[in-house]
Amino acid sequence: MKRFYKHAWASAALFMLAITAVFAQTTISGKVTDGVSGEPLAGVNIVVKGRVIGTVTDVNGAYTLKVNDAPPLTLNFSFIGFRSQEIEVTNATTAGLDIKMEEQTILGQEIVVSASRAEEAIMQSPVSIEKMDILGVQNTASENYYKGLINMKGLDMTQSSVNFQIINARGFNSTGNTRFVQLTDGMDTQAPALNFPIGNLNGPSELDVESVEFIPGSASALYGPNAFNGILLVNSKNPFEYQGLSAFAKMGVNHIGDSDLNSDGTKIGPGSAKPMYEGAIRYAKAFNNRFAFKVALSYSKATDWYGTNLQDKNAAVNPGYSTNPGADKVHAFGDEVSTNIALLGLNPSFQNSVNAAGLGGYLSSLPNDIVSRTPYNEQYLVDYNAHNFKANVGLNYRITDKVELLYALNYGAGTSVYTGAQRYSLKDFSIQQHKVELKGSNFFLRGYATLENSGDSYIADLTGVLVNRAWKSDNDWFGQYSATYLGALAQQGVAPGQPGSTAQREAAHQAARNAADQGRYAEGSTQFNDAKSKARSSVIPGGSLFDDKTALYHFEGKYDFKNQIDFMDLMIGASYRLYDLNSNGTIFADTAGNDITIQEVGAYVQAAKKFFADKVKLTGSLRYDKNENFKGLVNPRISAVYSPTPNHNIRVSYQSGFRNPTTQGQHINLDVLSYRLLGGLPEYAKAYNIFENAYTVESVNRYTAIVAEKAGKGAYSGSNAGLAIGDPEALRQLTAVTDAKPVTPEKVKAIEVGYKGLLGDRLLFDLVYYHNSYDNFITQVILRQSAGPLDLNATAPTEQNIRNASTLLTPGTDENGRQNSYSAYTNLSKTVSAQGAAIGLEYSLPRGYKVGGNYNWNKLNQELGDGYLSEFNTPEHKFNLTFGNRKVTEKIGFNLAYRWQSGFLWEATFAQGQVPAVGLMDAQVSYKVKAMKSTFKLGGSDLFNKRYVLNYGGPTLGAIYYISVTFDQLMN
Amino acid sequence: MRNSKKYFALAFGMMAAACTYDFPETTEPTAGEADFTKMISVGSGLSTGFMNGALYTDGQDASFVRILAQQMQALGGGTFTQPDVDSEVGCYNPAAGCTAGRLYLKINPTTGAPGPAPKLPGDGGKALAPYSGSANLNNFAVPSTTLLLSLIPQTGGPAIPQNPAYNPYYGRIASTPGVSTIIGDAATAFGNGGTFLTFWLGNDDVLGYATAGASVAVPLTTNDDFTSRYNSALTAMLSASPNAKGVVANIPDVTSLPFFSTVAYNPIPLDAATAGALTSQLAVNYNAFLEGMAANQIITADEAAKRKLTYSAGSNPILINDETLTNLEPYMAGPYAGLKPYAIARQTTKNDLICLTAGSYIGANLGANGVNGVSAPLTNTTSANTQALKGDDLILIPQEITQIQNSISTFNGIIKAAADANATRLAFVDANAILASLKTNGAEINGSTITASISPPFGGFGLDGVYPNARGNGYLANAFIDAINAKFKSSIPRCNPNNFAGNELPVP
Repeated sequence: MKRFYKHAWASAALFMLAITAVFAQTTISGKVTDGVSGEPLAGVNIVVKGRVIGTVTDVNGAYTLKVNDAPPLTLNFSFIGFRSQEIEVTNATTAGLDIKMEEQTILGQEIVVSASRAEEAIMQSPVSIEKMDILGVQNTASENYYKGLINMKGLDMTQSSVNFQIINARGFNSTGNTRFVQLTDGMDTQAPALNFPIGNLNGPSELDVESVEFIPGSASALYGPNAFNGILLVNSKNPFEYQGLSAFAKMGVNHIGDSDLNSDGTKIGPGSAKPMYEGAIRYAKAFNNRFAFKVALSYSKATDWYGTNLQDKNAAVNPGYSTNPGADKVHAFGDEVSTNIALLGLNPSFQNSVNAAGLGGYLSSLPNDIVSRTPYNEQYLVDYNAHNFKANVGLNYRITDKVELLYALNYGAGTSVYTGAQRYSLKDFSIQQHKVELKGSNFFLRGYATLENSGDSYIADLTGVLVNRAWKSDNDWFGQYSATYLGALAQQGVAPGQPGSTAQREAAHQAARNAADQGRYAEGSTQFNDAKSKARSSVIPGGSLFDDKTALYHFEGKYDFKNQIDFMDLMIGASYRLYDLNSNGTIFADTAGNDITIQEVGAYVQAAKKFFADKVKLTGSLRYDKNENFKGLVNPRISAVYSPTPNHNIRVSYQSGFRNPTTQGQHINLDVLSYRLLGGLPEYAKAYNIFENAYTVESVNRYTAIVAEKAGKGAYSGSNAGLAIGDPEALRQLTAVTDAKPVTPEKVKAIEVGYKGLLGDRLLFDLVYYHNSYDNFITQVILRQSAGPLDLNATAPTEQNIRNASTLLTPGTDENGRQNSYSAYTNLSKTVSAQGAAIGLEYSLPRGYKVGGNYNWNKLNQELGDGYLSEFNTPEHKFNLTFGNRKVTEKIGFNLAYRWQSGFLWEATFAQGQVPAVGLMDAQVSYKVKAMKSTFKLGGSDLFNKRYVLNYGGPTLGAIYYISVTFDQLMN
Repeated sequence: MRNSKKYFALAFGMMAAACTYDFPETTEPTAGEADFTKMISVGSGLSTGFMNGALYTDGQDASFVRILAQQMQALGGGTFTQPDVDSEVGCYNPAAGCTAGRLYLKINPTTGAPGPAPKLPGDGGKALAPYSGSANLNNFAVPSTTLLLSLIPQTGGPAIPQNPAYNPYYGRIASTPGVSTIIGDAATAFGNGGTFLTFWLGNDDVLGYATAGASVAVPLTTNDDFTSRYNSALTAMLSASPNAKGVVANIPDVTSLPFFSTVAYNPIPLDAATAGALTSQLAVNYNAFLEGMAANQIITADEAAKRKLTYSAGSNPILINDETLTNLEPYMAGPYAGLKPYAIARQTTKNDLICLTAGSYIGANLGANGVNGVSAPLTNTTSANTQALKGDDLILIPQEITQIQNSISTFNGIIKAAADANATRLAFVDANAILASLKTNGAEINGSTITASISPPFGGFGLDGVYPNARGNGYLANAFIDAINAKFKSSIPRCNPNNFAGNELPVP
């Protein structure tokens, strides 16, 4: 890996030192001023059309540009908030080309590039696209721009940490969104071992964000795998165009009023308001319009939101007690380990110990109750010291007027919390991206590497389990529990063999837990902390630590034939990607000598042509992708835009998209104690022979429930209790699995129709409807194996059924250390569809006031069924309202945003439950002090400190109030 | 690979690299240094699939040798022919005309306790009928074959009372009954293209003696005889096919068989009243007599203490005859005449081993003689007023156990020496250690327990308490597979013993 860095740095250095023969043929200079106030405008961007060469105005609004070409040339003057101007230059020496810029008041004039991978007016985009420009970034009502994206039409956001927001569109959201792609300057920001973007934890710091484009819906036809639900493109500031020093500092506060929070009578949360800090600095400078560099650093720190949900995920199995002895609380860990104590009665060594205690007669009094170990609340196990450091470095060199070479580094590191199948503390992780790119106005060629380091990241749930076990083994704990339970029944005068009344049983459970928990490590005690550190410092599954340094290498290029072909637009592109899995055998089977890699290639072509006096534009794209483990896939997109006038645009599109199984979905090989997680490639199923005598775990659960219910009773009383294992009714519950399809990519077909219109220059109107049809959803099938063949049609218990089914009762490992339970990736062969619509309105009021709003409707048409979670995870109704003016006066601006979403069901492997409806207000006011070139901002998100969650199993969120100051050397 | 792949990717990123990830190669199945084309088996009942007290088709089909041969088929092993008895239940009592078949677990209608009982009727001798396919046999194992019997022609006939060596299971397959020998026939077959030998003889040189309670009816082979006969049999086989490889196994500690652990030393439940009556009517008198004998120095105080009887409510030991005790009959005159049946009696201790066969005699009402094993020393009868044997064949007393174990230890030394002497050709299975471990620790098969007992569902032995059941044979086959694979670097796949039947649950 070191050699790679050297390589990259060497090339960068080489180009910095390179001396190019410059002989200017055209020299242009002048001054740019605000057309209204007459004041000079600093930072105005001036580029030569069809070239990469350009410049920006200095603090006095002055500019000079030398171009290695003879006139005529076209200069484009652009500045955010102002109308762009194109000026033809005909003289080789043009001095005093002074430009007056007019403020842009007409809506919908943005240029977007991502919808068609080429610049086009947002009004004419063939698919839905949203854009947040630099003013939007600066004026967001939320405490940072990324959270402010939630107000975009069609965008859904959820959150699993104060610094980890997850974006999605059009349904099927998740806290690790593998169906969504996020790019920073063209670089995929996913964590390679996880295959999902980690929100704003990497990518440019806020000072370095130039714009954000968001495409709701599939974009695989242009962007390849995983652009399934949508794509977000974050563009950082080019150091040529955005120069100078800028900085900001922010102080905030969260956890206000936390002491009120108690969902089961105990106080959860830090109990008092906690400060938050964030600081950032950016410096960029260009030399002679040829070479430019930038450095942006940012650091933020906060006390994370607490997971406070102590609802019982196992409430369904509570046999009617006021306290469920088998509770599995959402944000308490250790109680994932549970057992049916009736089954313990079948265990010979337990029988012996009970007989020795003189309680043998009570063995059949063991109730058919699930009992879980006593958990620790999340706050003692999850690292809540959220922080995030980001560094962005750019070195740009214009080799010629037409070609620019650049190197970019994006580094993100910190601590956060991620909700997956369990809650994961991403502790001191880091992701670095290095990119080298060569680009012109009609092409680019880039290569980048994403290097992940899981740092000290660990699984919080497993840590709780391991702390419990470090203190007392599960066997001992459940043994003591059950023995005490029987003793407590006897003490209450329950006759041997009788179950006792509900009250007696509940009292016995309480006594049993108290006895088994005797001497348990107290939360926060030295013993607890020692056990916790030990668990967190050894790798999974013996400990809870991840050890992952998986990397991704990506190369791609695009060429636009605009200089060669006139009658239509044509472009081609191709990409190559290499995942280099490197988990040291802690996630994948990539032990020494088994270096697992995954290669993907893709290529696309797009053609567009206008017809009927340019009123109709047809665009067709076709992309081919091939992952070495799956068949090649072709994804088309065809779209038509009908524009009777430039301000009225009707769009229709059809496309397909796909998502590859994640790197884990392909190659995971991880013992997670209750089963072994296996990738969906057929080699894994074969290596572990997982389909031999295998049954679905759901059917096994039904089987054990009946065994537990019947053991010790009727024909299975006394010494015959063990025969219950072969009970014919119980065995009939089992569903054998003899085969499962090796995992393949999941697919979506999407149809979208929309209308974008501008009424009277002031009302922007966007309406869209989509219909998505999904196929081949990637899922996991969990199996448990019997020790040998079973005769499910037996009419009476048989010795073969009893001894072979005995291993079905609990997950475990056999004499050779082989698990009896497996979870393997596969696909569901069921087609489901979803549809939705969105409407957005933006109205430009006089004097710079803007009011806007959007409404979004998303609906899953049918459930997956068959015991599978649909995981649509999206509110059916949602609306956003914004009202703001960045220049109420020269000094004062403000922005208000209100959003509401309906309640919805959140389904995920970690937890399933209702997310209540919530309405939230964000607001900020800003005050500009020109003498200091600074803007002060006072604001709050969730202004009224409403406690809410965005996903079931996520942390409870609340208000954040902040004050910030931003300095910009080039402030106008 | 790693670096070159990355550099390749860096340099030619846009070109789809041809080198894709290859899964680690699973080891190709191989016969290693061995050749499993034609396997010949020589052995005792353990190698025949004899189980539940009989040889019958289902048992033969699950013989560990056949399982082994089936697993070898993945590596070029050929067909494996056994002398099919074509019998559903086999013959439990050859001497009595095969009126009974194999054992099953029957619930005793009066006590409700399950116990082994033969299936009725037997196969009428089908299992003993001559076998026609001897020319193509692979499995020459014969139940109850001592080394001597494997080497002498009398084993095959004639079937006359004067020929105690006659074994109908060899008689039915012998190439020339009365002339040919087991080893001779097997060596011929082995010499005819045999490539692998499974040789497990020697068990019956101990087993018959032990299961007969170490009574003189079946003699224990002497050390010298064992040495010469074992080496002679093995040499005959190995020289028949000089390049073939093979496997030998030693003799399990037969005292660890469930045959000796199924019936406890104290299986007699007594209530307080019965115990009281036995104490006052028998124990008090006998114990007083013993004290007198000790006082008169006829017996030592230790022997007196060892012989004293106690009866109490709960589980009681068995009253037995012990031929190593001083015969006090001469002193049992006058008032003591009534004690004559107890001239060499004592109660069992945990140091005695009770044969499984004793189970059906203990507690039988012997009429005037009392209750068998309770008030009357244990004899092998269940009928009243018969002149019973002394019952020596139902118990192993500590001296006998030591004698048997010493012999086994010596014999195993001889077997190991023979294996070592042919180390390049023979793999060695320590069957002794396998049974010892199974007896003390039990074992697991894919997480499902297997024990050295006859109790379903986890017991690995058939109801005769000597021979493994089908699942036990699978377990045994894996032990042979492991030894062969380790020795010859072959990769015979292990079987899943749970695919085979254990003992059925008791039925009324």
